[in-house]
Amino acid sequence: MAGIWRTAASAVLFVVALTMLVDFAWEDPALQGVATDLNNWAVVIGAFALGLGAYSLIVRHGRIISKKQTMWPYSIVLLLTMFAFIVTGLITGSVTSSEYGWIYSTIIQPLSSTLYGMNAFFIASASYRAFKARSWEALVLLVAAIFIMLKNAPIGYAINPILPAIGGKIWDVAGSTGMRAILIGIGIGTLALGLRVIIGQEKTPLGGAD
Amino acid sequence: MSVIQLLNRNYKQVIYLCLFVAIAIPLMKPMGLPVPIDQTTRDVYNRIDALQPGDVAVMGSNIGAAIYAEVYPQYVAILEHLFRKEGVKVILVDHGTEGPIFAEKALNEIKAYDRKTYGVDFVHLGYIAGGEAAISGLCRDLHELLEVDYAGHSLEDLPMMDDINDANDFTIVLDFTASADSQFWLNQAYAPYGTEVAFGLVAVKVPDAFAYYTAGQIFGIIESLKGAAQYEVLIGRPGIAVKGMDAQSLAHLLYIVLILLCNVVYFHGRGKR
Repeated sequence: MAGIWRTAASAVLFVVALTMLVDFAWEDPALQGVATDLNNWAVVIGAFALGLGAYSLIVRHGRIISKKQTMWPYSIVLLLTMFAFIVTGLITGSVTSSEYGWIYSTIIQPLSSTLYGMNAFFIASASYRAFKARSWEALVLLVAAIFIMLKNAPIGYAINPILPAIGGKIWDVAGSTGMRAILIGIGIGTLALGLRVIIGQEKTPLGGAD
Repeated sequence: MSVIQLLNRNYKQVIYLCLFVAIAIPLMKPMGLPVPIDQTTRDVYNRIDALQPGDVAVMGSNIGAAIYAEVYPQYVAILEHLFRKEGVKVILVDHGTEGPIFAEKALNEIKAYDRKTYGVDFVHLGYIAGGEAAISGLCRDLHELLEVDYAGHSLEDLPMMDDINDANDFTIVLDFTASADSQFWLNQAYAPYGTEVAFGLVAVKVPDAFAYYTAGQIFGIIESLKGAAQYEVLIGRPGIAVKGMDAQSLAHLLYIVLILLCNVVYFHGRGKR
């Protein structure tokens, strides 16, 4: 039975993908209408996925709390925060309300910004612990890093404009070339994966590999 | 006790303290280091400055609390510049659930609702789920995808939306993010419609965007806090980003000193062995 569903899903996927591809290459108003509808369905499914995500979060963390698994009190905090947002939204009738904004700007935003800001401290200790010139490659890397850092802050220009200029050359020539090669590789890989999905060779999007 | 001995014993505490001082002092007492302008930032400024009355600028945003410090100052500076341009229509749209909060914060910060008329000069569409499909939907047929804006007003009641239907009507798109939605705008607005696109990004996202910039596929990049500071200087409205550059300068200098010190300690130890 599962095989029939998978074949049907593969067929739907093939038709939808082909419609979108042909629409991109060939301007036809009728086809464009169909492709736009298909695209908008994806947006609606995306919105439903948010609800599904919330449901899955409640089930998962509800289970952790009921079984008192490791760090279960954090699950309580997570669910309480989530329900506080939902209840506030429902009571005030809008996510644009000042109460809703207050919870976000006084709790979520400082906590989240702090977590991200702590990266600066980790990078500082990592600079001291890990950035050793153990090999010639490592030496090249750390010299490049120093010039890029001087390029990315006004202090480099204040010390000597030549320093950020060297950083700029490393950035423009070595960095940009390497990144372009990576992006082209990703592009080719994506194309190959897309083709495999369309012709039904890639089973992962349909709920698991063979 | 020498510096090296102190670092070897309590290196984390010493480093954290040094970094805290290096960041806190310039934020409290700015040093006023000059902010040189990168070409990537100047290109964005010049393109926005060349906008004509009736042109439409779309500002996509995936700003969340995590990237607030780097990207939000860019967003405010660009919004301010767009609001100074007479007759330019601005559409704000969000690709992350936190985006609308920061979009409204930015609009209030530049007093947008007092300076221009909502629905005539600017519109906030709010968050649209669906990632690339949402951006594709906006580019294909905006009215087919959406019926209301962020506050729930019908798009039919907003006069400026009468003439804006798809990406052919967008003059420029500027996307502010730390994730893949900048690439989505490139795929869905630039490739099929030729709409000009630029990005405002966190520092780690700049290298891959730079490849598109050198290829001429995007017309500019606002690079992290540095780009925001440069833009603030260009529009003559120095703010938090310009202040932050002094702190960033000292932090970078500290990192360089730590890297050098790390290697001194490493080679010193290796020499002894």
